Amino acid sequence: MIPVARAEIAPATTGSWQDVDLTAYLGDDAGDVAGVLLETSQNVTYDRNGNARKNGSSDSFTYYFSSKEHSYMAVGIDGDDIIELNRAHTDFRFWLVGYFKNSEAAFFTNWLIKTPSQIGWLDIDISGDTEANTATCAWTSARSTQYLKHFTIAQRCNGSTDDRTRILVNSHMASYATPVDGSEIFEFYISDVTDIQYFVLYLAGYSMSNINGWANAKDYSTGSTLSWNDTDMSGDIPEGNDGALVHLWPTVDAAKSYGLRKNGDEYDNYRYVMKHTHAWVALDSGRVCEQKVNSLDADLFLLAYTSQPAAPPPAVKAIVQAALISIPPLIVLPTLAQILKLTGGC
Amino acid sequence: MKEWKTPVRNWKGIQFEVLRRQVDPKFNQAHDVLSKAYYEGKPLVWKGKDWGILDKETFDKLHGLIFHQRTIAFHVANMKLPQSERILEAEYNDVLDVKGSVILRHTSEATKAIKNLKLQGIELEM
Repeated sequence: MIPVARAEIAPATTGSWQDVDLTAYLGDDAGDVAGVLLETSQNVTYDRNGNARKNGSSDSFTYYFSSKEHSYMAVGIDGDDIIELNRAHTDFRFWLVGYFKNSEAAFFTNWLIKTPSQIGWLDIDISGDTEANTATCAWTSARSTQYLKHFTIAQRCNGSTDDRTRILVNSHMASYATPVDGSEIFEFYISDVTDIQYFVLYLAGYSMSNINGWANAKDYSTGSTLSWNDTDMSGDIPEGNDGALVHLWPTVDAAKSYGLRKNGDEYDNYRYVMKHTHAWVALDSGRVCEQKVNSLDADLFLLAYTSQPAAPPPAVKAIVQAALISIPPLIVLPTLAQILKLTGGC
Repeated sequence: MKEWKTPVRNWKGIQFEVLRRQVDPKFNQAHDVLSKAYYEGKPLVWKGKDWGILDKETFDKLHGLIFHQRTIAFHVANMKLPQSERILEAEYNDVLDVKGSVILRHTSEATKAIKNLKLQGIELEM
């Protein structure tokens, strides 16, 4: 996954699905991008509706965003670098934070339904959805459409014994990303399926490379509050990796505030997280990020780390051309006739 | 202008698959015709009407209109289904606030939007 400098993107028109062209943010990778990672946020005291989708999708739902909330989601992008955004009001804001090349991820135009039918931790097998590819990470979104019907949910890698669940707030959507096992299975928890028609789990897409994780997440909760603190993940993330996939999870059943940013960045995305979500943050070369929380109950767990695709080897033609340029010009000896002509000889 | 690429759409396993297979194709077609014309800088011709080369504002309005119309069509098709096969409106139409009140329905918003666009001369025959 390729991080980008956090950039606000938005359609000028509200209340309908609109194309947003992201070509300018993708550099030389334009035209070769499978999906984007967005941060969504609200910083006013009203609740707003909105959503994002791949261009060409007819997934039509929007979800509720509480005042002063932020979250993350992954969504596909078409071959022309266009996504579609819908927001009821300009208070609902979208930020581009990274993208996935076609070689490392795939996203569905229309999200697939993976809603569980039983309670508890269940295997969700996506091997039938990845065609000739092999997934290493599943990107999902979970949505509740009914008030007074709270579903306690969570997502984890297959084989994990992590048990960090929390309520999905009604009318909201939360997004998750977890490594899948070698059989392309992850696990999803839901507390109740009595009114399961009011809950939906979507599979937005999957990564095939450049993301490595563990079955059980690692605790990187900070010990101080209300200020930006360096979080050094180098003990678990090898050199050369520049992103961290994390679980923002409060130890109590209440919304907590989190800010996440690359070490040294100055933007302020310190906002509520409605119970729990997965998020992604860029890391500096030392594998350090910054976090800010409002409470020692606001825990953070490291699920996986991301890296960028390796630069492709130069084409053979380019190698040969470069070699030719570096060869000194041949010295051309004059013929005897030319010498005689110049010297006036016979 | 670059050549616009038609999206590859998947159907199997998506939400409301059966009804969407029935309802969505004509709106997808309209979306693709509109997008191809705009992004390739060519006149939009739809159902016998020549819109000429679109500016961004007109493109955005038409793009939004397509999906407002799709919202209505989906709801209408759903309501025609036998009761036992219908999708609950709460699953696709109702938008609740945190207190549980239905603050808007997508079909109502779409109806208003379509009417407003019509006043601006923005209409598409589907």
